[in-house]
Amino acid sequence: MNDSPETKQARAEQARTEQARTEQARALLDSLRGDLGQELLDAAIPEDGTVKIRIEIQQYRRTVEALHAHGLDRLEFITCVDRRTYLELLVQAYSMKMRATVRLTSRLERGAAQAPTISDLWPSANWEEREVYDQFGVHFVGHPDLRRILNPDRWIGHPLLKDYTDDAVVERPDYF
Amino acid sequence: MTGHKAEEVQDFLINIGPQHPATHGVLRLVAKLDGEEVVAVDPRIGYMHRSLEKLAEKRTYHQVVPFTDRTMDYVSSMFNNWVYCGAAEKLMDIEVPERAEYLRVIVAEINRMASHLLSLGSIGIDTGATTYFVWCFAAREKLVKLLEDISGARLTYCYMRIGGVIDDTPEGWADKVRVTLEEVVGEIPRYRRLFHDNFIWKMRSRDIGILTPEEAVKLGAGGPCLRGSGVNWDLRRDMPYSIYERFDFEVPLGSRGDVYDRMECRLEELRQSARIVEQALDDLPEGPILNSRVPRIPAPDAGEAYMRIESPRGELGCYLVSDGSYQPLRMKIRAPSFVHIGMLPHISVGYTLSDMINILGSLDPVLGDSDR
Amino acid sequence: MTNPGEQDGSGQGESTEDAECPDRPWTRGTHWTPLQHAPPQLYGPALRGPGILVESTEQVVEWARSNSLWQMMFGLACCAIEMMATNVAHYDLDRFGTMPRASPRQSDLMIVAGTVTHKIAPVVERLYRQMAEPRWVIAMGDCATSGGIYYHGAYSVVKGVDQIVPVDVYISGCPPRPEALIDAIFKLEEMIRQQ
Repeated sequence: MNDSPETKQARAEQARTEQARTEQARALLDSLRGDLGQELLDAAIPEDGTVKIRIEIQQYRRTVEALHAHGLDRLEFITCVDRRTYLELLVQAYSMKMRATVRLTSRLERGAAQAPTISDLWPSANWEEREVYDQFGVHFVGHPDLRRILNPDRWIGHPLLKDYTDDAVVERPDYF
Repeated sequence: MTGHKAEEVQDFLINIGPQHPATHGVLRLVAKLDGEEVVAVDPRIGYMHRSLEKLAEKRTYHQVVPFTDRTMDYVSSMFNNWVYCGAAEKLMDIEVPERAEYLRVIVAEINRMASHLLSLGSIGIDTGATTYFVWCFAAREKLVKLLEDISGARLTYCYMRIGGVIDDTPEGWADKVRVTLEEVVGEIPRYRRLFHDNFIWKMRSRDIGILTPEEAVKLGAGGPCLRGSGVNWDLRRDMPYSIYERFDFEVPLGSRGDVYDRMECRLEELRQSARIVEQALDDLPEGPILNSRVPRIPAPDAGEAYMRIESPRGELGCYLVSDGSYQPLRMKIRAPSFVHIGMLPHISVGYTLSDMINILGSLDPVLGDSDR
Repeated sequence: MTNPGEQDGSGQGESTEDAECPDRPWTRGTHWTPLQHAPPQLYGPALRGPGILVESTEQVVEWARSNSLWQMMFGLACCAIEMMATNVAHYDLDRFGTMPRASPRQSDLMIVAGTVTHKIAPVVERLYRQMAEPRWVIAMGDCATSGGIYYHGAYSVVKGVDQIVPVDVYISGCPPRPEALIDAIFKLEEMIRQQ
């Protein structure tokens, strides 16, 4: 594929904006590091400019409050990844002013998965946490209204876990 | 009147059930009413939950693509395809050819116009303007025919693949697109005369469902819901993806954050999308349309990728995690309608029941998107 | 519809501006062209010329019923968009007598358009029971027919709406074209007339 001069220029522009974004992400990470210090287990900035942070679950609430204080005003999602031996709770938020995104992960035990709620910081976290509870069984301490959202109310089991089976699903009425 | 108990006034709990002509899909609203005024509303979703995220874990990366355009926001399927293919391309580090990028932008913007026409028509039928519904669908038919010419399907296109798009433009398609877009954009003054400048619509929509800019940002609104409140934020311009930086377009903004402004944004975005398509058609380069080096059963290294795009509903995102095998470990879709329906309790308190239906229409949820 | 052996409407010969429908003078100056009358299709009790029609009451009732099927708007998913598109503008379903009604108590026909999940299944059943007899069900699309692409592995999808309500006509397609939906309604009308 031969690149025309316009395409080359466009790609150069793109590279420049990406570099600016990475610098902003780095600045955000530095200020977060200053705030959280030792508790940041792992921090990295991959290529697409997202600040990835890993913390212990005990520091979850404090870290999220720090993120909120640093100007990350938009919550993108709260979700969970079942990594077979443990569950990984994920929160992603971004800041409109800084154009920087932060992805926060922390590990949870499979049997007793609990985390503090963050629905008082971001109102949209209310439904996101309900979805994580519904699909993964993670209990959010302090959530005002933790009930199933996507599956029927009397569903048994948490479907997105890797060891979920359809055996005991729901009391199905006799249709006819 | 001694001897009589004081009257008890109770709020009335009403169920606007999953089957209702105006709930944009199967949404159940349990509303607590004080007379006609809404005191609280609890939206119940999940009636269209088709377990997309579980299905994605049992399919190969290519096999997930048809699921994305049906199971998520089926009204704007090109965007669902794009967000998933974009995330997969980031994960596998695959480059998309130039012509494919341009074609993606063209079909996506035409799909945005079709989706906005559907949303405008739906709010017409919700407020009783059935003629507007029919007009919008008539214009939508023209656009859907264009997309049918290039992709083969009317609604669930499955046109984009990991690494590009699947089919090239048929002969004469570009000219047909230009003519059709001129016709559709030329209808906008007629729509204004019929509906948007109509005083009945203004009475039903001005100052209804006001969403202040701070609230909109905090609640996670996106797309026309955010811009209708005056927040100047469009992912195509502010966090650009693909080749959107090469196009020159305006972002329509509202001022008051009411139902009227949100629908105005959608109407104006029709014009801007047509502008983008015309610019893209002018610059459309020759070349391949699909990266031929994508394996048939990809097994990317362990890693993760996130792609966010500006869909007609709002900000759509796809988070893909891989663990080295040929099936994704986790696919999470950040759905705009999920967040917008969650916003409904915050912005419809204090308005009447019929206003709440209007507000729901202006948020333009698609239940496939919120339930996945 | 032109009779065989006739030219198609492209070569009219004279300018269309002078043509005017004899009983609608406002069509002057528009593109009105006189239609070639086709022989009427026998689509139920019909006459080819002046005369007396003798039918049984049942047949007349079934003919009337089939030509005015009021459908309940029960669009669930993507097929609902195609059902809406079939109802309006280009593929107008209203000309066949069907009218979308919101309430099941006022409708004869329920077009289940979209995927039926376990959460909505009791609702589908209740709506079917609320419809007054005679009532018919069309399962529109692959998901309502058999579960569609969600057959394998989706824990929340009912594998076909016929596990919940009895279905009269199945339409395949994902989503089916509007012409397919119109064809299904025709087939249903035939079934009703032959009852």
